[in-house]
Amino acid sequence: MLTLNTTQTQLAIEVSNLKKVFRKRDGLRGPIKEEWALKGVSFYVQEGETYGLLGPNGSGKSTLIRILSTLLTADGGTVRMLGYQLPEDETRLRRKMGRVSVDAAFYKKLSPRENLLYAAQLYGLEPRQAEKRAMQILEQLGLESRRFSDPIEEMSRGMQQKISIARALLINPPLLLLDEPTTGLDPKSRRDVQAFLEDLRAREGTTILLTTHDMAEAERLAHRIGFLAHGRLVAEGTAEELKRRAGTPDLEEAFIALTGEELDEEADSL
Amino acid sequence: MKEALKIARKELLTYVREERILLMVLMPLVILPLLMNLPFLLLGHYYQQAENKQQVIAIKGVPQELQHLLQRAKFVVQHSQNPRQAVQERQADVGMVYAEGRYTIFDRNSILNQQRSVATERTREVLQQYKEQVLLERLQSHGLELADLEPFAIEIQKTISEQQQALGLLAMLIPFAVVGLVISGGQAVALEATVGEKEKATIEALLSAPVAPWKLLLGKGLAVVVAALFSAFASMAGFALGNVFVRHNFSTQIEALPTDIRVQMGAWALTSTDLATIFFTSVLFAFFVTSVMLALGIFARTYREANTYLSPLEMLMLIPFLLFAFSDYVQVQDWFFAMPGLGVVVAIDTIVKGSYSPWQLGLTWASTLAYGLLVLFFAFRNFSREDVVFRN
Ligand SMILES: Nc1ncnc2c1ncn2[C@@H]1O[C@H](COP(=O)(O)OP(=O)(O)OP(=O)(O)O)[C@@H](O)[C@H]1O
Ligand SMILES: [Mg+2]
Repeated sequence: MLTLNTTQTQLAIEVSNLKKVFRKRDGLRGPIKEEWALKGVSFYVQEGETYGLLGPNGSGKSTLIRILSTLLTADGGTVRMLGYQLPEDETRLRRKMGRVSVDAAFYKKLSPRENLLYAAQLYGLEPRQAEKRAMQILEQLGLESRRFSDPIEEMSRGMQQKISIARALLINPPLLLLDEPTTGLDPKSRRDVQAFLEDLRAREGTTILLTTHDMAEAERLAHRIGFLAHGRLVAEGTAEELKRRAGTPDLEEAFIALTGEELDEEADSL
Repeated sequence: MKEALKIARKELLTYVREERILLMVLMPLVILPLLMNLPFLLLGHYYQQAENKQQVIAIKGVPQELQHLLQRAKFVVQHSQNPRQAVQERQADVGMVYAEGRYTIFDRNSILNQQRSVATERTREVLQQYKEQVLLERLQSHGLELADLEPFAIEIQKTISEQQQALGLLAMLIPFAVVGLVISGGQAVALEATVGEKEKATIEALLSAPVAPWKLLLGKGLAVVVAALFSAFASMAGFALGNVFVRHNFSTQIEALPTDIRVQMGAWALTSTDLATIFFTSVLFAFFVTSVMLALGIFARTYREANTYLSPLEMLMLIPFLLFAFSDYVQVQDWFFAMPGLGVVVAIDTIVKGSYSPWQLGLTWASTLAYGLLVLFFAFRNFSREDVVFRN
């Protein structure tokens, strides 16, 4: 079982009562529909801790990550990260966060090298050092360096995802936000990425917030896990705690039990 | 500022990688000049050949004296029962029949061809010469001179400026080309830098980087302006170089062209001050066009949506062209110079014609800058609004 060295007590992420609504108009003149993607989410992540967010499609995982990475602004609640407040300190926070999203998004006509150097320049890094660091990371992730200059559009999704992780780590961030980083990867690549994250955490003490659909991944990587359903955090704890609470032998059944229909309705009526 | 330059560099690199670089260079510097000059060259070549060739004339009822004159003008004279048919069947280049005090010349060119054939022109010249000869004989028998028949001379002169005359077709083409190419040249880069980033989802990484939105916009705008101006001025260079090249290497073909066609072909007769003024006007126009494209590109969710917005706008831009085509009948008013797009067309038109006034040019510059800033404000506002950038 994963345990965190609890001599560090500072919080890296502190989210309280976070809310987000998307407004959409039905047609040209229709009424404005409100869709609450987050209905008051509160949780914290300690420094050096890895927190796993599990939730079905549309539960608000990506929205949460987007708010933390300053792409969206919350409609309620507070976010504190690394001692900074959102949205006031967003520029300072951006320099300290790396983010990887499900779809490794790149400029397809450019090579991985050019993509990474472009990202490095946006963060004001020295190109030569950034390149050296990128090469190291890609090697650790098991990507052959001779492919470094091929156009990215010729690469498989797995390779692209690894490059995307390298991009997030260029700035050596103390905080890493990972939105389904291993979705769509083959088992070998998935294990490469997971091993890399474990190694990174051990070496650098990086704090990681991770969303995933993969129970095994959550159990392997996350110190604590939160179940998100319909924009609410419905359960939280270590994998053992969650299984115990649901009375089930594995995490997947605990997930189904704890995010099931009755629980949703109960949560909604609160 | 450094970040903005890096962003601009990346946008242009992405654009160039789309294998468009070859087209970007070939189109203005090779294909356009070729399209412009090839018809003139071919025509010149044809006239040159026709001039050196011995022309065959089929005649009927033509007096001996005129036949001599024709022979002296290098015609091969053939007697024929039906000169018209001989020309039709291509046995002769031109035909001539004299009957009842009238000379009829049979021309070989089709009805679509406005020009008469070289042989016809030459026949007419010979006939004119013969006419004057006959006339002179008759006058002299009455003690008069040929000049007595022409008490005064008549001349029609175009009032358009020498520069416009010298430019020929180019005078009409340059305002079209500059405005059209600034629009089309910037579009690909502008869309790639906005909806392109949305469609590929790269915009998320870009917006979560510690770069201020105005710097992102500046970088992207810079790339679009550069691409737009490159497209316009590479074509101008193509026109100029093509013209100089053709005049230098094919002077005999051009000499052989009839005067009116040669005038149409024109010569590169813009001064460097004119060029600089056109360039400055284009820079302002490119700024305006770039703002419009970025504002729309950021608003649109997909390429398709962006094109839906841009197509009608581009149609609107055609209105000045229409008006411009009727410029002989439309009185250009001062307020034309303050209209978006239209102002730039008429302004460049007056520069080319060498007839611009500082007040009108200033009006165009100031209004274009104002429109550009206004739209840029919208682009910036769109760019900093998450409900626009992440519209779903
Ligand atoms: N830009 C947007 N505009 C409107 N609605 C949105 C937008 N982004 C997300 N939503 C809505 O918010 C809800 C949460 O979406 P979100 O992408 O956060 O879910 P998720 O948990 O990441 O799902 P998945 O597992 O499929 O990635 C969904 O109902 C979605 O339709
Ligand atoms: Mg998601």
